[in-house]
Amino acid sequence: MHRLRRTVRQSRPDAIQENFNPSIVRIQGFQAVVPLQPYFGLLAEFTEPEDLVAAARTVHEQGYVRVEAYSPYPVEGLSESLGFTRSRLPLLVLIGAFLGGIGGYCLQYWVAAVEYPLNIGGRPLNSWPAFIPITFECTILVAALFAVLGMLALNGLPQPHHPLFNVPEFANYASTDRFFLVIRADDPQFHETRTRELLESLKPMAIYEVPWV
Amino acid sequence: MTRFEPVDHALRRTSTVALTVGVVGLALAVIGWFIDRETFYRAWLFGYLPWWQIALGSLGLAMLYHLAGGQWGTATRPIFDAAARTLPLLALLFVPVILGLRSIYPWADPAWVSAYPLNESRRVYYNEPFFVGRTVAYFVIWIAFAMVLSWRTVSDRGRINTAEHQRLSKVAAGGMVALVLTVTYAALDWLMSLDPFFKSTMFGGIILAGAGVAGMAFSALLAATLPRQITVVAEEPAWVLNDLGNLLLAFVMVWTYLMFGQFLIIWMGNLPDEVVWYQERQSGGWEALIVVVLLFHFALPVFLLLFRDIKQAPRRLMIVALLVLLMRLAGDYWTVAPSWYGPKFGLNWLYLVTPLGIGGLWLAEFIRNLRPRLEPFRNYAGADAIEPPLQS
Repeated sequence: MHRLRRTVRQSRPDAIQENFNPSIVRIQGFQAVVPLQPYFGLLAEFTEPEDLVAAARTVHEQGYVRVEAYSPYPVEGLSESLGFTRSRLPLLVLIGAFLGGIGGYCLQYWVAAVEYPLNIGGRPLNSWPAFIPITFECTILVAALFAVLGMLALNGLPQPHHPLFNVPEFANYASTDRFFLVIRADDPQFHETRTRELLESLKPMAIYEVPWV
Repeated sequence: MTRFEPVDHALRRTSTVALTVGVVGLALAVIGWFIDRETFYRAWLFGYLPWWQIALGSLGLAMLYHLAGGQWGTATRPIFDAAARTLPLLALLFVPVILGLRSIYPWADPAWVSAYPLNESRRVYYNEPFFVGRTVAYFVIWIAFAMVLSWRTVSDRGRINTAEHQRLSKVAAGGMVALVLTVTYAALDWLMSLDPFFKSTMFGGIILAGAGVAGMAFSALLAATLPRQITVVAEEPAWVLNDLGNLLLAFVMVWTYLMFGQFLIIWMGNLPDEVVWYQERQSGGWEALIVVVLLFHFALPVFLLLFRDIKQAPRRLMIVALLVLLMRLAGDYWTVAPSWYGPKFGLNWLYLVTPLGIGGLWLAEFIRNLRPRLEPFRNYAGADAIEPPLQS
């Protein structure tokens, strides 16, 4: 399932102050999720990807920030319509690449020139031309590891359960042929009737309240 | 006034300037011929290389586009085709190399051959009539493919229907094989034989990848210079430039990979015939040149081309592409000149004049081919240009 999440940006200080993780409270050092909203959010179901993109654009233009869109496959323009900015993943990958390259070279240098020096055909111990291929491979390897693990770290996957799966239609069709848009109840703009009316105006197939349990 | 007209005007002006530079450059080169014939012929081969690489690389990229498709190619096809169609002029410009074989290639110089006798198989291969015959064959093959692939870019408005596309992709498939074979042999004949004892099976690949880099950098440079006019066929010009930047990055990586691969194998093997080639090129100042090439042909462009902000901004992409093109000259000089100067860095003013002279003529011929190919794009803009109505 292609999962897209919109996070609160720092450019909206009002949203952060009013709604910065209000549902998480600390009790004697333990974190517990205490639902402050009656339900997780309002879920709209669409049959066509274009409708989802249009709906996401409208909702984003209305100023909603805690909006998530779900589709069985990547839909062109969906992330843009939700106002996605660039992620920090490329930076992580770059850092991984540098670490891998430097680490790969240092490992070879340490083995060949410090820990176990061998005279191979009269070549210098630090035979840098011979070290380049491994250095290159390590660069790619660590960059790729950073890409995969960094992606998981940044998007919060894997997640064992999510309130959205309490909606049977979502659980059954989100990975096959339906397109979903959820406005979370902890959105600063969220209003039980007004938000529902906005979603209805987008002509979805159905609207569900997403229960917590 | 259509928005194409200022571009057309700029192209015509550029063509005039290029022609002037070309004529002045060639006049200076002719003066050089009277002063020092040997250096003139050698400088001619060097000055010829970058433009030959751009034309040949563009031909290869056009084939790649016909085989693989993609919006980057729809947008840059006029550039590839116009550059490939300069090959007849390039065939003509190769004549001075043929005239100066004895000054350029040691194996054609009787004095050198009597000092370092070539064995039987080298004598069969390295002789003037066979060399000329092979060169003629290369040009016939290249020009044939260039003409077939670019025949209809003017009339079909740069967009081809499915039947045409399938026909051209078949031509391109055969062309790709022919191109790899002919360029391998051309590289061996024209460049590797500057040192008749040097042998490397990777050398042809290096030259071919270098041509790919040159063709890609040149088309990225031009697409970035004329972003609106060339990429109007695309919905999002920024993403076409992004693709071109990525392809340039890939070609630079391939070229570097092959360059390094050849060096690593020879360094590991440590055999006299091959090592000499590198020894000449890493002493007496030549090593500084290759360090400059590694930094500015490989390291800096690869780092810069990682960033979307650079690939999608026409002006920045232009600067990177220009840097790569300039560094191709430095890399070519490092490849050919040590064979003439030996292990001591040398440079003659003729080596600066010939690339300009030949390049001026080449650029004028390129623009002459480009203008009618750009013209039909002027009325198209936005998404409707991707799926245009078939020709009425």
